[in-house]
Amino acid sequence: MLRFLKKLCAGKATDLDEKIARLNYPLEEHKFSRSLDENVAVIKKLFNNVDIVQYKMIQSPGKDPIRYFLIFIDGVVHSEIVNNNIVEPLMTKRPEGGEPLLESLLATVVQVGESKKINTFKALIESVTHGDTVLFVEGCDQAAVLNTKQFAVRSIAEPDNEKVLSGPRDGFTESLIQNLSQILRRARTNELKTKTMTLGKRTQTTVCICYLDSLVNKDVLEELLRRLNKIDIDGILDSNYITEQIHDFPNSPFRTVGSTERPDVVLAKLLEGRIAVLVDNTPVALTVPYLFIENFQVNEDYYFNFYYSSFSRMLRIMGFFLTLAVPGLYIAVVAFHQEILPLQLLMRIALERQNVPLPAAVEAVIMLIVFDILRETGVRMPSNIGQALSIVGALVIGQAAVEASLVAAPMIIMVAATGITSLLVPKLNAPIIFWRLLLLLLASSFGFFGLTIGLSLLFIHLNNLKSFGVDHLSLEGSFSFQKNKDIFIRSPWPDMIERPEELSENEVRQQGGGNNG
Amino acid sequence: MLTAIILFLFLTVIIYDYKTALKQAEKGIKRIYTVIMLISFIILILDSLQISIPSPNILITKAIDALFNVQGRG
Amino acid sequence: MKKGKVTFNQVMFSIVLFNFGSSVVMGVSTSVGQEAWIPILLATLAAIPMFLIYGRIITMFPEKDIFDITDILFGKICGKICIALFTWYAIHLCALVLRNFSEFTQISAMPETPQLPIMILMILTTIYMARSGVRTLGKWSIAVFFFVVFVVLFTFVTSIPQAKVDDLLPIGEHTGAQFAESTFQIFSFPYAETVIFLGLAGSFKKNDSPYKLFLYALAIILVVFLLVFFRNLTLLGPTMMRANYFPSYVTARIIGISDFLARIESTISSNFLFAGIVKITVCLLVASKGLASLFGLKDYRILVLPLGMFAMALCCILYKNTMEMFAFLKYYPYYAFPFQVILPLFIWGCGELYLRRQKQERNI
Repeated sequence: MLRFLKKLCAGKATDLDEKIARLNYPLEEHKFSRSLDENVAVIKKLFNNVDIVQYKMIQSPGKDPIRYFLIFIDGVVHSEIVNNNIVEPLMTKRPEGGEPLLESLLATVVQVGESKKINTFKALIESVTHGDTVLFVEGCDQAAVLNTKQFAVRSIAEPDNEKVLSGPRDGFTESLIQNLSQILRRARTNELKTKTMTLGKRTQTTVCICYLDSLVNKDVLEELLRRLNKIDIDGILDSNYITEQIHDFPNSPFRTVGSTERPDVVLAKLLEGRIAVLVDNTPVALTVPYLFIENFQVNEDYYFNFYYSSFSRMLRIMGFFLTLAVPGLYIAVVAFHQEILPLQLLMRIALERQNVPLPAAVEAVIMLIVFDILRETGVRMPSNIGQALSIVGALVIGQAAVEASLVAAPMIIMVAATGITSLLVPKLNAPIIFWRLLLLLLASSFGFFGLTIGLSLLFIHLNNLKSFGVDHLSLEGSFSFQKNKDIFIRSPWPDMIERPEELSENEVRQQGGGNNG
Repeated sequence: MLTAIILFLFLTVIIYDYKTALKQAEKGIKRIYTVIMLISFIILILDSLQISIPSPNILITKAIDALFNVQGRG
Repeated sequence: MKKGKVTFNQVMFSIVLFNFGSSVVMGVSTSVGQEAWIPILLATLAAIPMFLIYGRIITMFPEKDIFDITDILFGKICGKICIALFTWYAIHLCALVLRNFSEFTQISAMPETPQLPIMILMILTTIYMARSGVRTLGKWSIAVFFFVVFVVLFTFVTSIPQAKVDDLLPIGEHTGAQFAESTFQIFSFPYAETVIFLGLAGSFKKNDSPYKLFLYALAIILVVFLLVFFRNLTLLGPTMMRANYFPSYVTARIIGISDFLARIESTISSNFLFAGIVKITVCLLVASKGLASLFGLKDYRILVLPLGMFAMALCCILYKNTMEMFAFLKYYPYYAFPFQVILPLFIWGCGELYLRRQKQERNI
């Protein structure tokens, strides 16, 4: 008899172990059992070696006490809430009202604002790791998720790479909720839709799609959702992980997905019918579709006087061509078309170049690479070393190299002009580096002819690009003012009557506006 | 030199096309593709080796001269 | 916005650029010297009915290009012959234009470089564009058109201080036969070459009137040609203009704003190139569309590359030297006449008959 009982007990224990061994992965289908002990055993097995997980068994007061089991992770929960609003009431009060037990517990005992019920281990793991506390009750095959999240959140500050002189200065932080609140505060309407989805098999990152319902282009929205659903990756740490997977032309150096760290920019784009994608744990929001001209538009354009804004926008467009073509132009002129220079300038350049051992094209490539090296080192350099770096860059490369006749002085000027103009269009830096070198190569072997061919190739490439079915570079050849109001110039606000046609289903921005301006 | 350039050009272009566009192409397209590429390749190679090939323009000019006598009027 | 369709302005500007293509480089016919504006006007007048016929063909069969039309009208075998002829014309024209540009680039900028690398670069660019499709071509035309017109206007304005208006005289020096020949030449090169656009008509929007399209384009072309002609004439004089292969290029050499901006001819030549790329691309596109429909294939894009290579091969063996190229200009109008005038006239006539018969059938 005794042996039989022993056998039974042993049998029971191995049953549980076997069950646990079987349910390791995948956990999706596996549900909680009614037995609290079994659930606890499974959970402890699941969080084996995760030492920061806290387990707590609690009993309610009174006779034949109800057993509760709490699980949470230290540090990601708000411990005051856990202590005062969950543990204490559970220990001191019995749930009033009858079945089901869990509901009445949530209704009468636990003092937490947000709660939901789950019944799978997968959901349990997601909630616990996210900072929630999960409450099990004896005899229930459901558990309550209590919102006790608490994160250390960086305070709202102006983004370093999108500084403005005037206009709102708040930027996104790493918290999705906070970012959404910044957008919502600017658009108090139920038209602003926020759809969330979870991406990344292991990181389970929350991704939020925002759009204004009556403005959005439904085709683009559908396409975006389709592409997001196709993403299959184990982790998402930054929005660029998503950018490269929803890109229309993954092999192009040009980005056809916009990104920004400013809520005002996001809202401005939403108001034109675009869609924003916010990713948890990163301050960079994505906007689609992205047009080529957006590389030259800056939020400040719309906050300043429009004459000034139009002027600076034209400067930026010019800067794009200059930073792209200046090295090529210089080489083409020096090596092939000297006649284009005025005589005195030609003499000076020839004089400078006479002692330089390298051919101009090689010299240009080396100098451009040196410039890029200086730039790259400067980016991640502590600011106090950065000064030393600029001295080295300016003095050693600039002055000493010229004095030693390793580099011609005009070449330094050319590289400096290229570098400075490239700062006008920071968003295009990546493609420009490649195309600049290609143009340089073509110009050094074919002069202006090669340069023309290179620019043509670039232009054809740009014309081919699409962003979610919308032309990246829109050249309809329309002469209407509304189509061209925000391209080379930034028109005053009363004249901004229509939204861009291809972006929005609802074109009119101001009903009857603009006539009185 | 020119022969080398032509060889290189055809090699890269064909390899590129085989990796991308030609993969799913129909059989008819592939046949026409190959024939035209072969003809142009032979002409270009012969031309680069300085072997003269009669120009189609000679035929045209001769025919027109016979009909309208453009040369005489010149 | 429908897929694969181009807007009115895009087509119009590409027609304009197509006409600039090689003619701006080669110079509009110079055989009657200072009086060339007369044949330019006459040729434009002659081009109007021709353009109207092209427009009529497009309106008769909306959203169809010439290859579909010949198929409908002439049935299998005759249709195929027409398609083959048209395709040959397109690919031959492509080679001719390519040769013009490689000669021009070699003579003007790189006398030591062989022409082959120049051709390769150009044909690869056009292959890329033709593969990208009609829409890319249309967008390209928009941007390039403004650039080209700006350059023409700029050179015209800056040439005014150096212009010698006396060069316009005397009037009435040449005979009627000379004028007729010159007119015929300008008519066939470049105006009537626009017949190639019938091969792209399937990409035009249905409610854009083709008549308007062609006539507006013709008006712009006329203005630019006259500007270019007067600029070249008043700067070079009739003798120099005749003596040079590429008068526009030589003109740009003379133009200068004081001492600072002188000798801008090499920048001007890139301007020619932009228009030339449009012309070569259109020819290449139409040729590959023609070849595809000749063999009943759906996808023409893959044929662009082999045809481009073929055009290059053809281009290499066309002429032995530059002299031959200019000598062929004399023959070209006669050679092109069947493709530019007879074939469209034939299609037009048959099309009208076909439509009338269809109407009768419907009425019965």
